[in-house]
Amino acid sequence: MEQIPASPDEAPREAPTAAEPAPGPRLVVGSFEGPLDLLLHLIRANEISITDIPIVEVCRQYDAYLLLMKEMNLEVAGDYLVMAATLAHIKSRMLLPAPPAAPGEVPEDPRADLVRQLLEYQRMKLAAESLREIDERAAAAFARGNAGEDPLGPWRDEAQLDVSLFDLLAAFRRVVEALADAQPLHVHGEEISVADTIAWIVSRLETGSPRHFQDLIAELGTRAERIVAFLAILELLRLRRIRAVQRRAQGEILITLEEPPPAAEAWAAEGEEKGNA
Amino acid sequence: MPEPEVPAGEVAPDSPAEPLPDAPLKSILEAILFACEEPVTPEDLAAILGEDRRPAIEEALAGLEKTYDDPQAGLRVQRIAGGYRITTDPRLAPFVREMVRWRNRRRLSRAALETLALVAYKQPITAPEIQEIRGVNPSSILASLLDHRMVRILGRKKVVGKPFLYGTTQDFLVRFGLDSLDDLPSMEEFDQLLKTEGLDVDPLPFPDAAEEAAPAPEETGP
Repeated sequence: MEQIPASPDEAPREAPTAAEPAPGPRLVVGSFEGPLDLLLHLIRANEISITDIPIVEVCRQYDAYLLLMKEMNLEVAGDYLVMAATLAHIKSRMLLPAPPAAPGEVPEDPRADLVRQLLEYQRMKLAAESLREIDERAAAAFARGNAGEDPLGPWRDEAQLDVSLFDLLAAFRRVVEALADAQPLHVHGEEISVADTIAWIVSRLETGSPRHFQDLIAELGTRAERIVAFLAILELLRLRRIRAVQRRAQGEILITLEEPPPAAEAWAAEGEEKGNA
Repeated sequence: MPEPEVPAGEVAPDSPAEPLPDAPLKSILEAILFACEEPVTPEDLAAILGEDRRPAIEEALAGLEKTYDDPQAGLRVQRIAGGYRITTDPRLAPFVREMVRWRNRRRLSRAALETLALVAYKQPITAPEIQEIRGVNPSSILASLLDHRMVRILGRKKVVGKPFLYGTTQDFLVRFGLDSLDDLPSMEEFDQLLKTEGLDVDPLPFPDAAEEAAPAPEETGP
């Protein structure tokens, strides 16, 4: 089972600058993943069966992630709260004795709807993955007038896995826990801005790419700096200036600089940002 | 180009080319396909070359497709979105890419691909139905897909709120190199994959996307 994230209670005291990153928009978690992705992440991380979800434990971990995301000042889209309520409802139905079923009727598992939704979602993700492969094949045949356009760009021939937000969050938590000796924030009113940290990350990657996500974060001394660096990495990912990959599921996360420099048009990206507010 | 059937006449650069009224149909079609950026349908060709030549056009297109299916040729005639177009041989892509600079690349984000997959497989489908599966409000991704002409509005569903029904476009087929939606892998293949991952979909009453009676769209137009 995964460990619970560090208590969120101490967050506001320790990360005052991170809590108010003046420049830049607030990141909306939904622009990366949805609540079902978080559930699937927990199911994979805990190696549990999708059809027999230990709902109490999953519910607890799900809520812990929501708290962690709030601690990171990630704006949690309403869709996540809807799912949290659904999980709580299923949990209560699992704990309470089932209402007497009509004669000849097998009472349905309270989790059945959720399992159906997760399977349907998985199936849709496979369909999306196959569309991506079809897209990649199609992009190998150049037609007239399209010569300047490569729908895949540097992602072509990429065998590595894209990293989900939750992989990043899990890795980040490990760094923060492993480096519990990090100096607590001494308040000298010194502001750590996301913009400065973005510049720092890019310069670190320019001198050596790829770098391990954890090493990069660990270079920073204080918890507040690390939280800001995490937010900066998310922002760079959103802008497609960097890419986060891992060579196998649950593996080490590598951060690489995007080449060539930012796509003039990362379409459908802007849509995701606003879509879940 | 593979074996041009009409030898190119020696024409001085400044004198106008002599028209060839009796050029073979195959050469005419080859020239048109080369010049057109969009896939050309037999209907388009019949409209300019004469409806009576329709069977000959179909035959010549098939012949052209065969002529280009040659390891010596750098080009291919591809059937796409119900039409034909000339493309480079996909196996030569590494060389072509070397020559072309990618300034204008557009990549479909994961969320966009997921939404597009849902529309492609379950069309006609409404935004609330997409949200039910993805767990996330799809409205702005749909707006972006509409902007890029990957999806279109087919009509409105006759339920409360009369939500728009979405479907894929010709541009979708062109981008993904598909002749028709039938070229997409079937949902059964994905179920097979889920099973190999240990997720048995059978014990659950799992509505089949293909079989699920899609509500007839009320064609009120966008």
